[in-house]
Amino acid sequence: MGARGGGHGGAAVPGGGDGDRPALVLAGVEKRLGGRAVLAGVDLEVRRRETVVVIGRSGCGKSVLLKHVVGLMAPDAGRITLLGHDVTRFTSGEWRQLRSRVGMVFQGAALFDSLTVGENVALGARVRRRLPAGEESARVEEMLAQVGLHDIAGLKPASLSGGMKKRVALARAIATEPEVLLYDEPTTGLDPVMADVINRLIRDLQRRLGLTSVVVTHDMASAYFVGDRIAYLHHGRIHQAGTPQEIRESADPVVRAFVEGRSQGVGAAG
Amino acid sequence: MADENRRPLLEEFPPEEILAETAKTGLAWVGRTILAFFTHTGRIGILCVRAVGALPALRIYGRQTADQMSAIGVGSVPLVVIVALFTGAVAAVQAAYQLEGVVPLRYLGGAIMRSVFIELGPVLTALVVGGRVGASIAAEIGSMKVTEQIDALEVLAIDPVRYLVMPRVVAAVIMLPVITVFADAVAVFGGFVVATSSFDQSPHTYVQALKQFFRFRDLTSGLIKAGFFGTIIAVMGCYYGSAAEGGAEGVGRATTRAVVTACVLILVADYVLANLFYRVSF
Repeated sequence: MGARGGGHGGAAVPGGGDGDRPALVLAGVEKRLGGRAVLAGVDLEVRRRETVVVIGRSGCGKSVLLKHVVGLMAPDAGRITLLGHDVTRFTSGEWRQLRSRVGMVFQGAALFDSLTVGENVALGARVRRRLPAGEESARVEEMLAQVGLHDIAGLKPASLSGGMKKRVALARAIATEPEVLLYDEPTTGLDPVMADVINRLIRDLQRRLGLTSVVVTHDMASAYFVGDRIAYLHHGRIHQAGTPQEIRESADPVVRAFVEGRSQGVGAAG
Repeated sequence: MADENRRPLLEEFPPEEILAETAKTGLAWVGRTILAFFTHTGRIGILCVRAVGALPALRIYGRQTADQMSAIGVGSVPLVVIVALFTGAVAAVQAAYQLEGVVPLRYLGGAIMRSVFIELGPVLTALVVGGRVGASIAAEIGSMKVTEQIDALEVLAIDPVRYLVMPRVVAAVIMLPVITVFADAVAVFGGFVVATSSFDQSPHTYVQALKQFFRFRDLTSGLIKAGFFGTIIAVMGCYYGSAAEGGAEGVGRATTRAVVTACVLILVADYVLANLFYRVSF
């Protein structure tokens, strides 16, 4: 495992592994929003069953990056390959087919507040008619148990705490049995204990279900804990990528300033 | 140094330059407005086509559609009853005033019924329901948009048009005529109350006039109009809701736009449909 070049500009490709095709490849992805280049040539490769954490300052384009991976945004330039498909110019119909293999946990959980917790978890599978009606509630309980929740299927999301919402969102995402799971700021807004619970869940699910994960966060404790590799997004590019150890010991002043939480050295426009 | 950097005063520009700049700004505004009009019209058109294309999914989303029918129809009943009752009562007073000395007052029931069936029932019901339902649809979908719930639907491979838009449009198209029939009946009853209490008309005379002047076509044209108004209300709510951006403020803006646009379009559609049905000015 190691960052290619160990330094500026390039995406890291871990050595070793089982040598199969990467689950996700972003090559030179560019996106302008409101006249500003949010992504200015992002190169990133994520292997199957690997967890890559994308870190960076607020507003640096991390969430935009995730939205490109799942087709909620299309790049202005560059190429995205997901699970062997070039999805750069996918139509919405093609996306709908591929999305059954991809899940996402949104920053604010994005639970459907008109539905109960159980209906939230069952919705994806129900619409695709994957579940016989009788098995639905058992499946919902099983998914909720996977994230450590019990007897809440009948509640509405509004009555849940922030941590519970995140866990329900996680249960909803894994209920469709995805191969790739994306997390947008999974620990933001949670107390340290709940953040640790979520981190352990991410790690645990990744191991048990063999998921490929991309986690976007600015929480370094979370990044070190869940990531097989960490990529630092800066000025719309992957500034450095490497193992948690390599990022922790990085000599790059910009990366060091970020991981140590110093306001000097990150760059004013970061 | 400070003098070099100061912005020149308006008086320092030559008048022709000011005129040219003003014309350019005005022209740009006109251009932007026209462009925005066609952009919105095009997007609304696409949304309508996609909603129609989503109709086969009705069997999957039957429950959502039924829920919406209840919210749009049953939920609007109290408001519609009050509006219709007073509409009928006012129609009676106005008709009596206008008919006085021209037409015998025993035809009052007929005049009330026809104005209610053709115009007042469908249009006032649509405007009232448009305010209530259009705002609620835009606010709900707008909140879903700004809290990423629409994105979450997409990621779950659920088409938001099939799941959110189509059930609301279908429910509104079905329920607006139903509420309008109800409003028509209540308004005619409102007229009856005023006719019998204020104009000393016997119930029998009122009912006789209703029978004499009843045209099935008046009723059906009003109900067809109501179906169109239902489409306008639901599509505007869904369109502006799904275009909401920027948190609570954006949702508020979307809600206002949905209601205002729906109300204006209801009146425009009313005029167009009146021409189609009655050939007044075609």
